[in-house]
Amino acid sequence: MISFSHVCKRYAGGKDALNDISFDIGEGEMVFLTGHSGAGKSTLLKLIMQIERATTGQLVIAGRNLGRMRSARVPQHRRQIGVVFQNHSLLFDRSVFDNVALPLQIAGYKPSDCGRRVRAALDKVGLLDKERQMPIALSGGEQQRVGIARAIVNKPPIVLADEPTGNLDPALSAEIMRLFEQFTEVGVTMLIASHDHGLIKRMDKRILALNEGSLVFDGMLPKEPR
Amino acid sequence: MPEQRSDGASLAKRSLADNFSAWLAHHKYSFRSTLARLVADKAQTLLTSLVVAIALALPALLFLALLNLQQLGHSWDTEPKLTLYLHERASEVAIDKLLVKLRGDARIAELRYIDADTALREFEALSGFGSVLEGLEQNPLPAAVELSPAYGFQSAEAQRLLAQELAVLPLVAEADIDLAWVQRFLAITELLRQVVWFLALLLALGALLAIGNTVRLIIENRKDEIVIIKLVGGTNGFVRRPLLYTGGLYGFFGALLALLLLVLVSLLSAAKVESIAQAYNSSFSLQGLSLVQVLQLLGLGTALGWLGAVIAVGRHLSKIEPS
Repeated sequence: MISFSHVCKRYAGGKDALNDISFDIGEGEMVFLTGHSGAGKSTLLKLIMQIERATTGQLVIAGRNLGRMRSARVPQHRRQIGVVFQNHSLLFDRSVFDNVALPLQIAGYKPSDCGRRVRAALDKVGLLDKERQMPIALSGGEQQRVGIARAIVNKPPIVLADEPTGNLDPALSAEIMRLFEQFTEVGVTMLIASHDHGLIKRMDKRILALNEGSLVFDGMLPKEPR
Repeated sequence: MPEQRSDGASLAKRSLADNFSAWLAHHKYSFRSTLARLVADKAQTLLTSLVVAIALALPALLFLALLNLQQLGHSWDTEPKLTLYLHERASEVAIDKLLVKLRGDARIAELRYIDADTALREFEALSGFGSVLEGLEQNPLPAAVELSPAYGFQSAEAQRLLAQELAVLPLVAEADIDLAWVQRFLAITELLRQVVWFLALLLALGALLAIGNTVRLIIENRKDEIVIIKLVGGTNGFVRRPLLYTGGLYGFFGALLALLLLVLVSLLSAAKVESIAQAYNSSFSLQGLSLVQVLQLLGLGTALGWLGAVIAVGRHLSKIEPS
């Protein structure tokens, strides 16, 4: 689903943000991307979303080689990727329903279709009763779940999450992780950038660790003897 | 959600008809949501529309005034005519001789002799200043000959030559080309029309800038929204559409306001114009805008607003990309 081979990203200032990164993430896999801030997590996510383009190397996302993608194709590409942002990135001038419906409107779904899908997504994150509320009236955890509903509403094959539990307490974090696990059960590929080591340890999934732009670890954490 | 994958794949395989209906649906949505936003922000909408309204109403008003003036000019008998004013002491015999001579001139198609008494009566009847003349002991008006040049001698130059020639005849005190001032008047209105065009262009440019600036501010205010839309796969067109509708609607509202202003002004001036026209014994009445012109004005306003938005969007939208 997500395939990096010898990917480098150098910003205009000459700083290497990513250096010779290679890995493959299969369909339905759930992978944590970890590393200190500045290690290149955000850059890696931006490459997948085509906010930035790789300097060298090859990226294949959902069977598409991004190196040859014209910029006019980028919006189409992004519709295949649901993104959960750390800061929720909700639009505060419209209701929860309209926030979640945005990707469907963009993709051109019929209004009747929209309603059904939006409610299914809100049901999934347990916010069906809040569809008419404005995001500002929701708690941080609820806002995050609206963001998740928006990321999955058009059933993208890939979901990226950038520090999705950054501001949440452990109970809420665990709840959101359970939600993400459910998505992988139906074949969604999940890539979660996080520096919450406790959480990552508890989840016991594959880990990609970045350090100063290089991939320093790819695999499961060794089981600690009890 | 077991159907998940097939759905993801079908995203890329949408038919042309589906794409068209999605495009149409978004146009509808953009129009409605833009209208709702404009109605919600009444002060800004009124202000921007007013700029457009003034930019449209002022030239339209001047054009209307010119149109009416030209209509007035054309409504005067445009048959070319010369008037020869005769010396007061010319004898009747000499006048008869002159008339015979003039009737024999091939350049003159028709002529009418008006003696001093007739001239006085006509003047009294037409001008309404009869009572003033009653106070005079003597008839101040000279006898005159009105003549129409023959076909082929009706050009301004031919008339001028004829008048020049006739003016030196011993009985003739003065030879006037009656319509020369009408032609001058029409020439002046033509010049005015050019000035108004120039003014209209300047005002249109002003309206364009005003709308462009408003749209730029809207883009500025919706930066976050634009970034999010682009992040979840919105195309530039998707972002641009509501902004273009915003400009178009500002223009349309502006044109509506302009029409309102025009109606108001013509209602206010119609009564005055009529009373003046009556004083001049003229059946002249103000000509308003035709339905076609009303539609043209609305179309022009909308196009102006749309263009302003296109310019603003072209300059400012591309700078907003997720980072």
